[in-house]
Amino acid sequence: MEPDLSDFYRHALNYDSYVGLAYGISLGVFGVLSMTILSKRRRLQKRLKSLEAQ
Amino acid sequence: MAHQLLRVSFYHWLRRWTLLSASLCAALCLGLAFYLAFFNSPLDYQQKETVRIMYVHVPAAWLAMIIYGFMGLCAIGGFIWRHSLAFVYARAAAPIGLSFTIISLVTGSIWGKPMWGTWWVWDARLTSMLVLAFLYMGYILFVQAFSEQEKASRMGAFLLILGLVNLPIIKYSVEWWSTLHQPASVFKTGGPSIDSGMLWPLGFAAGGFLLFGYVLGLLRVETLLLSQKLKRQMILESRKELYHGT
Repeated sequence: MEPDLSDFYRHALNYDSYVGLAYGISLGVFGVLSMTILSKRRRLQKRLKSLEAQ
Repeated sequence: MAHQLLRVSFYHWLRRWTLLSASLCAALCLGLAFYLAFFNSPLDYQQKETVRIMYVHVPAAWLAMIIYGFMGLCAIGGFIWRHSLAFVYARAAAPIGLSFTIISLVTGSIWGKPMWGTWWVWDARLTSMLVLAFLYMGYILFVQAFSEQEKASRMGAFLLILGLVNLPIIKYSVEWWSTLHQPASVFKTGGPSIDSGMLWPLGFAAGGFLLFGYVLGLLRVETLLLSQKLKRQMILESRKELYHGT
């Protein structure tokens, strides 16, 4: 009797979405972290410059 | 030697000469790693496409542990040499380490669903990584809770040193206990047991993550030093105003 492979193929199609989700979330976390650090740094530099200019 | 490394001038030297080159190398390593991961690495015979999650999950987990180890060393160094820059390094690294831990946990969970049939199990490896995330979060909240920076850093350093015990637990959890998580396949006696077609992108991804973490760390240290400078400047300004006002 032939094994029913429909479940296997359904999962195989889903595999790409799991990979995409994992990479997407990682990219998002790295993006948020980098932007937070850079924007805080820029904000502090601006404040320091304006304070020194006074 | 440690005194030299903990000088602000040494940090500025590092920042000046390595930031751009490390950023470029990180981009190059990550680009190469993900090109190899998606177009040149073999599929696992059982896991198929999902094995590609490994190229993010595993280096993120390594970095989460390496950064915590670095923070622990900074805490110990800060107590031994009484150098405040050591604590600044530890504080700077904390959100970066937490981000790598979150990535490791989330990607592990996403990988676990199609392979194990569940998003999460209270397995020793997963639980010890979750404890690492709590240690990072605890440290970040703890040092923010004190108004006095120096005191906050010293108290937080105790927490970091206590948390160091978790690192060998994470590493050996898969050997000490029967876990659903697979045992080590790269850093193990007898050498790596994974295919070299998978080992190369994994190595490049780890190198890229390490350099990326280093770049973010340099920028975080700069942010903390700027914040300290701003505070000093504001105190100086308020004193001047007080002096002129009286």
